[in-house]
Amino acid sequence: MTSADAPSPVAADGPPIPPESWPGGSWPGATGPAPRRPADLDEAALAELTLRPRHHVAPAAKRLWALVAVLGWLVVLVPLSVWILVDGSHRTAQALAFGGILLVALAHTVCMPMWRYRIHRWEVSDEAVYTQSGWLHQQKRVAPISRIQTVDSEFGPLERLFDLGTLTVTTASAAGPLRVSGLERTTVRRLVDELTRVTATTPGDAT
Amino acid sequence: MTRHPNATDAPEPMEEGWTRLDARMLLIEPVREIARMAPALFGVAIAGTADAVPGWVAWVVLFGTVAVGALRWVATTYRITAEQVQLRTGLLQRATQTAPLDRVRTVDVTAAPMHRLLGVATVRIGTAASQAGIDLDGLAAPDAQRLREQLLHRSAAAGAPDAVVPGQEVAANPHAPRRRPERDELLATFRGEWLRYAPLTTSGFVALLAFAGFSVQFLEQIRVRLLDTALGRSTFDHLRGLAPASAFLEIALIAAVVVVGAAVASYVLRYWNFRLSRHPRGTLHVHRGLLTTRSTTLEERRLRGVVVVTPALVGLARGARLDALVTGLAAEDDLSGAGNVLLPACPRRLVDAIGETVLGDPGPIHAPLRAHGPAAHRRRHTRALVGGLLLAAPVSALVVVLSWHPWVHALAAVPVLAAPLLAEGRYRVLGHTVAGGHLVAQAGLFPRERSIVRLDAVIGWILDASFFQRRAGLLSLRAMTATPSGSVDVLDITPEEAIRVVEAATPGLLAGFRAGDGAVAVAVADGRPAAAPPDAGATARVGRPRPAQIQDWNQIRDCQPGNGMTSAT
Repeated sequence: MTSADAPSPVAADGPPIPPESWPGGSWPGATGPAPRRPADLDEAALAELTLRPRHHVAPAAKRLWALVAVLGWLVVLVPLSVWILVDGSHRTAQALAFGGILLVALAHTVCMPMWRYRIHRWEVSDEAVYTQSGWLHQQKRVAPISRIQTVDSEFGPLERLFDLGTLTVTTASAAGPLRVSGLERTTVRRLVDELTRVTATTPGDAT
Repeated sequence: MTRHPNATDAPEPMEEGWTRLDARMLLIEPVREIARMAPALFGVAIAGTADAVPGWVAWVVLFGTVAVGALRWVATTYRITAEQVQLRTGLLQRATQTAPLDRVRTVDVTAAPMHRLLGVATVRIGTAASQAGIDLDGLAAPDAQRLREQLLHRSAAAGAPDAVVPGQEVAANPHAPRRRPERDELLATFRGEWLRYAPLTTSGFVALLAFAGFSVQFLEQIRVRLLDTALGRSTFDHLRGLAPASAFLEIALIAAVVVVGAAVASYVLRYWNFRLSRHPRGTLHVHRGLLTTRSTTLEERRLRGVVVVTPALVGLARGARLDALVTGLAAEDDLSGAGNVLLPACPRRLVDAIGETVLGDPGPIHAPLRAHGPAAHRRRHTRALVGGLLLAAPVSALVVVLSWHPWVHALAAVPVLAAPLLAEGRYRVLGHTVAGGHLVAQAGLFPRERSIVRLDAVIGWILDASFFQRRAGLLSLRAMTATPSGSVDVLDITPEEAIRVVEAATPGLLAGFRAGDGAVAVAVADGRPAAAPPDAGATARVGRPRPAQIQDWNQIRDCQPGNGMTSAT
């Protein structure tokens, strides 16, 4: 019933199957020994590894994030101001609300960009892409180049003001793409070109 | 060249061999259309009896619905050629779906009760993961089965990259596909003893909620009709005559009986005649159903792991459920949303045995798990306590403010008192390991889930840390996979443990990111990693052909004018 004459990748006494045709053959370590258990790993070797990418994003990104924060707070403050101008009866409540929100907005607009700039990092090596982002809720993502499916760049209107852009690398996973925002425009373009060229030469369908 | 599965029926002469679906669908389509429009029709009928709208409107709507159903049958045609399957649908908007036969991955045959009565079935053809399937709704049952066999046989013969001759062992690589069976292998069949797990599942609640959601639309009419009957009136009087506590107990008892009944009924309807088998072509077949029968195909090539799901009560009775982790879209299923079920609630030892067979390795199912440490323990307790207080505090405040019965305080205290127990349970369940070529992660109480995924299905990693997790020195490690859920999560582990797991599961991935790397990288033309420390002997990458020369990534960065980036950390 099944085809006995279908081409088989295993010749009875032929050469071993090249790694790329295994389901997991594209992993950097796939040709090495079978994966080790966590308990068997060498402490010293582990201590050398880090999860800290090297490159910051562009410093102009701080100004971009500050601008976005200001716009966001304006959405709250403008209706509040309208209310203050129009309604004269609840002065104490209005003063409290306005003062409180203004303080929080100032603190946010001043502190958040600096905090974010310290956290947002990226690095691309021969093997993998690595990003770090967030400020209150932080995330690090790492994906090997062989598992990249698409490489996209986005230049939003506010980003264009500061000559910045966003690089998005998607994989087959629904857990989300790797995104680096706040890079200079030229860096984004170069990275897109390089990554596109490299992923085109890597075999497999990356699932 | 066209092939007509309905070899006995003369095809309607439409252009180039397009056929309509079986004529028996003319009986089924209108009924389905009426069911689809039921709420609207009901509303019109009610309005009609209230004399707000003349009665003949209801009849017109009814006939219109029947006509639409019949027209839908007339407008749907399909064609199977040597290379592809095509389906044309739509009354106003014509749409053509095409599926190349070589890309067919799954072929499922479903037969609802009305279909079975008339001897027709629905064939759902699934292709690549990202595309929706083609639905041939209304082939004669024997033709449907024959089409399924032909399509599956053909896709296997089309020479997928790792298609193997059945019975042959493929390479001594722990990750390679396992030996395929020589012939069809029956893995599990339904047994009556499985029914004892039925009342313990949550499917009763789900069915009840669905029914409640549906009937809420007609609540007013139902209430009026019920109170009209003698039975309804007497029940209502009886309940009103009782003290609140005993009325509450009575209602709770009746609700429990109803839920148990619904759970058993739902289980029987879904899993009667359950059969799991494995075929030499490299597919797993699941056949199940009492009124609506379903034959589902699961390609082993898409299988990336399993999840052993243990709902709380089912676990107490030493049972469990087995789900498959597959790439691509989740299989569509009925209202319980259980896609890719390999085994319903059944004895735990059967789940373990089938899990080992499907994975090809006994290690992950029974592997001892690494505990997550005291920080995770504290965090579980803190979260449970805070959650309980958040639930209890408003209720207590309301009791004081609105002067309710004081015993509501006791009700509000339940989440707080239960918090330590829940936290302890949740901590003991937490665990992870890397065993036998798989990543194993266990978490959760309701239900407890042990996710086992093949290491080569891990696409990348996400290390997630919320503000509170960072303060506790923890993070969540998520292995990105191509499955519908997107990732397999290991909650609340320390950063050191996370690196250990990443290095054990995907060795060499972090090789490019080494600590203490202060030197600015220099372009290396032969593609070796830039800025490797002198003693980088730990990761010798052997044998993998290098892609075309990669420029040093730092050159891309350094070439930009005025970027002002720091080069070292």
